[in-house]
Amino acid sequence: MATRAHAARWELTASALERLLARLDPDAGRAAEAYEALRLALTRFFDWRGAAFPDECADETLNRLARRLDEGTDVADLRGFALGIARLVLLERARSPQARHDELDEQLLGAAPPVVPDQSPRLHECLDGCLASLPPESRALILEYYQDHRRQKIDRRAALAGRLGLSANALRSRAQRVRDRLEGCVRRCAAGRDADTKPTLAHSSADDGP
Amino acid sequence: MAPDIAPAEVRAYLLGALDEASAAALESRYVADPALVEAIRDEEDALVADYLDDRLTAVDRARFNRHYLASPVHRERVALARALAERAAATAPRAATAPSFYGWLAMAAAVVLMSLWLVARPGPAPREVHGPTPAPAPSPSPSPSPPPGVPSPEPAAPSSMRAAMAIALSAVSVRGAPASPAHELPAEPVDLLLRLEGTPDLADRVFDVEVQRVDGAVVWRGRVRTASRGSGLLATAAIPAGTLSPDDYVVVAAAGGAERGRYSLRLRAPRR
Repeated sequence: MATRAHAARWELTASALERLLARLDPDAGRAAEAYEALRLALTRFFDWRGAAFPDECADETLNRLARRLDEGTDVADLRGFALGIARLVLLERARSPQARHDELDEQLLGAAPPVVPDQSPRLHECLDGCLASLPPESRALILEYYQDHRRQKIDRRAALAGRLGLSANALRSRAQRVRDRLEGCVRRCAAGRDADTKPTLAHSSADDGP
Repeated sequence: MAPDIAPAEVRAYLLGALDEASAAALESRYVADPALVEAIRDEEDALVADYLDDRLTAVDRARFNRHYLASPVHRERVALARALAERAAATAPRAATAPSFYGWLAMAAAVVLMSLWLVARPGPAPREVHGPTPAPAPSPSPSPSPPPGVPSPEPAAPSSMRAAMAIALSAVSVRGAPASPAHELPAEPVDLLLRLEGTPDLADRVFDVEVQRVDGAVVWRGRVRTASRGSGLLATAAIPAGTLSPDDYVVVAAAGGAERGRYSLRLRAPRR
């Protein structure tokens, strides 16, 4: 039974999560995949809508969805319902005092607000560490994928796809997955202020948050 | 790209140019179909690559700067893509290929433009208050000798005069400005003289100028004197050779702690 939200914030319970998973798919394995797919889609929704913390917003959306199901709300179109909640979360975030503050900062400072001057060296340092953590074939793939500019880049990617026996789309997807892992790794590394923060590529949704 | 998604529609969505009803419809589709999420992510990747490769139209570039880069997550993504491209370029085996015809043409054009500026400039640029600019950094790679018929680069300048390239920058309104033209760097390192257009206040004596990358990292900071009244300039900032690489920058001029001008600067690598 889920803990009802009174004054306190509602927390996702095991039973509420199970109910949500069961609605996604009766098969437990496929339900877990569907959950990850829905979470990714919601994360992208917040990302492309410009939210500052897409992962956090997606988790909040899924929590609310689980809560509504646990409370017995009749939901015909689960993903459509989730998107409706996501829009509400987005709106709430946009209206929050912090968002107002950020918006004001953006208006005053433009699209490139000053940040700590050493961000760029830190980024490169983290990127090096994260690249080193990749399996050699993934590292070689991503570095070759990003070589060159314009026409040469297109030609190089076509040659790379041919060498690996992949279609252009399959190569792009593979590179994208590696890049997404790198992005998460670099973000976690850059967020860790300590110099001994070791880049890690292990995916953990909990680690992706701010 | 999935067959039932139009790249133009996706780009419009990512650039905030899609009407709300169409955007909502697209979101309904991709939340219901994981394959579409991946397809849109592909298109986003291509969009960022086009931005970094300077292949966007002026309109899309302005939208990218105004809308896409308004998100801190997107700024990180672009910074990472740029860093990754730099790292990839650094690890790429050096091909011993001859420069293309267009590369030579661009180099010759850059040399001619640089020479013209050195001859035609009306007077010395305002001196920077914070001290002399350091000597130009050595070229990271040996420069190829020009082919027959192409003028040699400017001969070594006397110690008091270094090769420089002047770039006039018009102030932009915050986040809503059209894309500025890209300035191609010459093959040889040169000082960059950024002529910041505007009208200084009577009380302005100096300007604090910052050159920032799009991700906000400050790559150069200096204090420069106010330009002469009636010149149409706030100030001219001399950026030592080798400080700025091909990239997109935001230049901010402030006086007394208040921003007086914001400029967009795009530098392009010399064509090889």
